[in-house]
Amino acid sequence: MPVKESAPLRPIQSPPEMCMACGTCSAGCPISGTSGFDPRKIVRLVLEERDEELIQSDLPWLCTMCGKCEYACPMGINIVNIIRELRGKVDREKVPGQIHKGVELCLKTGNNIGLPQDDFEFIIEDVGEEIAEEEGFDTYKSPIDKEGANLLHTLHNKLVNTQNEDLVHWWKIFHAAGEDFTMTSTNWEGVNWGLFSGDDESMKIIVGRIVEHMDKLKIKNLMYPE
Amino acid sequence: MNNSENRIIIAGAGISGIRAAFDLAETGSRVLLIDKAPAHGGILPQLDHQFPDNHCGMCRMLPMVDRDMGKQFCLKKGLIHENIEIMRSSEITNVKGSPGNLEVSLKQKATGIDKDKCINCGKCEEVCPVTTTDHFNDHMAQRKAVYFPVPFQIPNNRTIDPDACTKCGECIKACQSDAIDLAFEDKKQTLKNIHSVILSFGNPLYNPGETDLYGFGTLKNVVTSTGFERMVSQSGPTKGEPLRLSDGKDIKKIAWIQCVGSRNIMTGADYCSSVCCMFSLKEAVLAKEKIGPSCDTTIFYMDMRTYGRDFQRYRDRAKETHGVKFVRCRVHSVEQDPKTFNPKLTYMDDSGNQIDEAFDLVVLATGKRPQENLPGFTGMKGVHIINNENEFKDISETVIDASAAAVAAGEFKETPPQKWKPIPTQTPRFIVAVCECSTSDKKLTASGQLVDEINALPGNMKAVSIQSACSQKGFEELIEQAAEPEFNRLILLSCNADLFLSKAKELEKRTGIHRYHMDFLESGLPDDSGLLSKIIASHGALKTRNTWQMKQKTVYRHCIIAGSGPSGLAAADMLLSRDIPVTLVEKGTDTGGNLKHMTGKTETSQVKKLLTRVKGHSSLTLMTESEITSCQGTPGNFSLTINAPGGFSVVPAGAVILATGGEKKQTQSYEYDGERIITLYDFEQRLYENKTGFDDKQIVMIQCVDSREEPDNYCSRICCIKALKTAIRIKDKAPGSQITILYRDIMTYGEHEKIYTQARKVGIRFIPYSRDHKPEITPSESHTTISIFDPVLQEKVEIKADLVSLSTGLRPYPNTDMTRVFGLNKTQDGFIKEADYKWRPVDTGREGIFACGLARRPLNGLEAMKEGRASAMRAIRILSRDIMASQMVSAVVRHTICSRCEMCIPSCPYNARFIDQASGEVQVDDVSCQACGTCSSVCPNKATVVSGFEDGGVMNQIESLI
Repeated sequence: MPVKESAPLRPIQSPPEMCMACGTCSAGCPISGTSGFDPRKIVRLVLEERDEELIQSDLPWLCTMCGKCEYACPMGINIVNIIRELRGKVDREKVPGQIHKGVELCLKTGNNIGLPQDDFEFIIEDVGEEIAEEEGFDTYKSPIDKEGANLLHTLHNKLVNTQNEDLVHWWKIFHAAGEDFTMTSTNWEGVNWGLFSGDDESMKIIVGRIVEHMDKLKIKNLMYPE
Repeated sequence: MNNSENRIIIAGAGISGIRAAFDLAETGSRVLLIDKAPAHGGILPQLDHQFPDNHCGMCRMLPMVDRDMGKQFCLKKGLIHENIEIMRSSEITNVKGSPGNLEVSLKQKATGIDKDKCINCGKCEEVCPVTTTDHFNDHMAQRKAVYFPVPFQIPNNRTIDPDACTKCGECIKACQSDAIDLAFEDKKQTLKNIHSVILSFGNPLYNPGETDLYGFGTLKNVVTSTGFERMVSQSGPTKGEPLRLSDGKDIKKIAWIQCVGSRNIMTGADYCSSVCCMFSLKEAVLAKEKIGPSCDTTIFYMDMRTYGRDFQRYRDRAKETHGVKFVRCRVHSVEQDPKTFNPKLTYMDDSGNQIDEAFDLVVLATGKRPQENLPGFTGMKGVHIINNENEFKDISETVIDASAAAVAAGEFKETPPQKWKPIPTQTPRFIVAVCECSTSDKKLTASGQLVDEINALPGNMKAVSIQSACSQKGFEELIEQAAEPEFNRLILLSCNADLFLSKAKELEKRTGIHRYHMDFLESGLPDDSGLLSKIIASHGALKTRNTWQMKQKTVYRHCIIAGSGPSGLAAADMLLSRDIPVTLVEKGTDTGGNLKHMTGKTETSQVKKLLTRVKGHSSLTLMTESEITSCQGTPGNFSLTINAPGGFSVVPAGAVILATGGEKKQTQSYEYDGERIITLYDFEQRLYENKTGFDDKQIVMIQCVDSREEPDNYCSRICCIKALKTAIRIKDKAPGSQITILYRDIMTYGEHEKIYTQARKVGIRFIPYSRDHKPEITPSESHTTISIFDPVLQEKVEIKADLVSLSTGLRPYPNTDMTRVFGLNKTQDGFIKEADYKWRPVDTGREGIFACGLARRPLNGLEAMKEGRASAMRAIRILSRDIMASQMVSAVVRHTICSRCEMCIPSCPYNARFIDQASGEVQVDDVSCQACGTCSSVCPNKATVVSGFEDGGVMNQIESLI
């Protein structure tokens, strides 16, 4: 099925055929002109069913998926979905950078960087203990797998691995606000790189894990770290 | 108000309401013109400059046949006509009954100020502590809660804005005449025995603050089109100086962004607002005129919709002569430089590069919003709607619409011959009324000094002092004094002469002094020097005005219509339904005009109905294979020679409507062969004949073939819509077909935009091309190769087409040209040229001769029928009366000293002068003459004079002033 038919019509039921080539998208795109990137042209190529040309090119990967184009599109065309659809059709081996590897690791280990569970729990506890040393936070303890909590707190792998000092702020605010939150010891990853690689199947699995956590721990609210 | 007087009520006193009101008033109908707003005129008082000459021209709507019934006065300022009553701040709340006998309920909002008591001193406004934004200046300036809705209208009454008023009561304390009431109670009344109601609501404008894209309301140098008009208006926030509102700096670089709030399904606007392209074009040219040719102007557009008859050439001139730049790109958003306040845009240029550019000012071409829910009585019989299509229209089409509605709503009783009371020759005896507050030096009038000075003058003058003649009490006092039988001339000195123009009729009735013998002077506050000489001058002019002779001519109640196509039939239908006999002169053998080529269901069925109705009418004379060969006479009294198969005949007529039509154009361009390369009309025909075989075919349609470039540099208006409809039908019949439309600008104006949206939705491909880079075509044995540069892909595209359709447009029939027979002008392209494109679109330069339909401009069948009805309305102005009468001020020839040099004849802009074949004398057609005075200024021996402006009186005036 060509991309013009398979790209989901979300959030607006507006097929790419509605495009009147007005140029709004290209005028507003932050990377128009970079290595020949031009959202209007991409929509036109998709309409002409020249999907293969696009799939073989770097163009789908240049987009930042910021959505500025479709925000102003007078015809409500879901340009970002078109780009994702194109990315999804690229051979997984040719997906640039870390994204696809991250997805694979996540499926295997529950997080995009493959951090083992022991290491994860150590970091969380360690950072929590540091907070408890501060004045006014002596009762603080990082909650993990707490049943019946109000908020499920998923994590950005980067915050756990290299910039865990940033976690301190979140948790201090939660503590001060009396927020009843919890993290999970497994499948804690909150960043779904399938979104960027156009990999719907993997996305579904990763999202399914979070849903599973919420069901099991009876949690109603979810926080994504990004 | 007299309950039985106003037989027709018009709701909405914008351009269309005013047009309809004048049309009806000119036929003798009594009209009540109401408006929700506290001022009349709709949007027009805000706009000083109109396409195409950047003048206003609204006064060209003033009555021309019975000029004495109204005042020849700027319509933006005031509307003064004996048959029209205006009610502001009012709306219709209910309509009951049947046509001819409606019961109409009205609600009038309180303005907080009793205009009969108010003496316009302005103290209330001075003390009002509330400041709010001024709607009149598109919210770019401030005003008080007590204000003039339109600062220059006459009579002008201050109004209190109930939404802004805090009811602090300061104004009440300041008011000397107890005119203020802050209870704001609505006044309700019901009028009975109303013949009909016309609704002329107009559409609201889109508020660009609704979207966050262009920063309207946040960024100071982003304004709307109306805002820009205010910035270059004398009555605007910068007094006509084009300066930036953010910092008062000069404006040197302006961008117009088109389609703001239009052609955007995300803002619920799957329509084109029809007028904004021309509006912006005009503003860009105006900017060059106001700011200087170096002012940098750029229009950002998707399609420049120059679909009116002469619009394309205007666009070309804007580009080539004035240097207006055009960029085909919809702007994404506007940002502001924090230091300079310059708005910054990013756009794609023709070569596919993204460009950042800063401007001094950004103008948003804001379009229409749909009308609010129409009231429940809208669909009732006897309630007529102007613009039931809910479209934005330019002035020209608005005026046509209004006349077409007026003719349907009017009753057009035969007007009895005017009773004219001759003015006897009498020794002039003057009453000079001096209004007390009319001088800045209160002592001068109060002490009676000025009155004494006037009384000391020679010339039968008696001066009296009146207190506030503008108030009801003062006016009564004035009448009491002037009604003394000794007086037969009146001079009134006040601070607002124009106000009394509207009361002249009442003054005449109650004082017995003829209007011809009245003069209203203005003291010219604050400088009140020279008041005495003004009075002497006025005295000098009035004393020479003695008798005036009304000349009358009977009207032939019969209309000749040339052409039996949609517009001619629609005109005939209207006239016949009003018992006016019609002769339809058709050159061909058959009636119906282009009906045989029409494809639209609505228009086809409407024309067919018209044909049956018109042909079956007993007052119709149908002459086929006939042609008008000459036309003599004056409005109401024409005599036409018609050449029919049986021979020549001479037929009298009161008015003539030219509806001679036009035809589809043929072409030799793009290797036209009539088989695989055909015209759009041929293509439609094939579809109509149910030809099949379009499946899996490559079809290319080329727009603007031999159009919008010299020599036929005009848009034919129907081809884009026709082409899109045809393409959609093909796609429906043969989904496997591939259709590409090569276009310059898609002209789906108004609600037609939905057809364009639909065409894209069903997968029709659109590639734009420019006049300089047309598609190239190479026919071969098996197919036709078309190559074109696609600016979106930035590459050349080649299409192997099985069928090529060429959109060739329309032209007026070259062989039914009536302009020479009637002495009319033609446009460069051979269409009949009207008297004034905007304000008098179906009138010709010759009063009594009207033009409509395809003979005048390219249009579709529905539009042609509307234009036909409008021309019927204009003709009824003449045909509904028994006599045509001369007016008080008009040109007269003194035959004894006329040398018959004939210089006056071509100088007359109204074609009112001619040589009488029998006597050899130069005659003036009193009806056509508008008393402009051009003739008397060119006459070398003063043989032609304008009554009321004879040399003696004018010399008296000059003498007293030097």
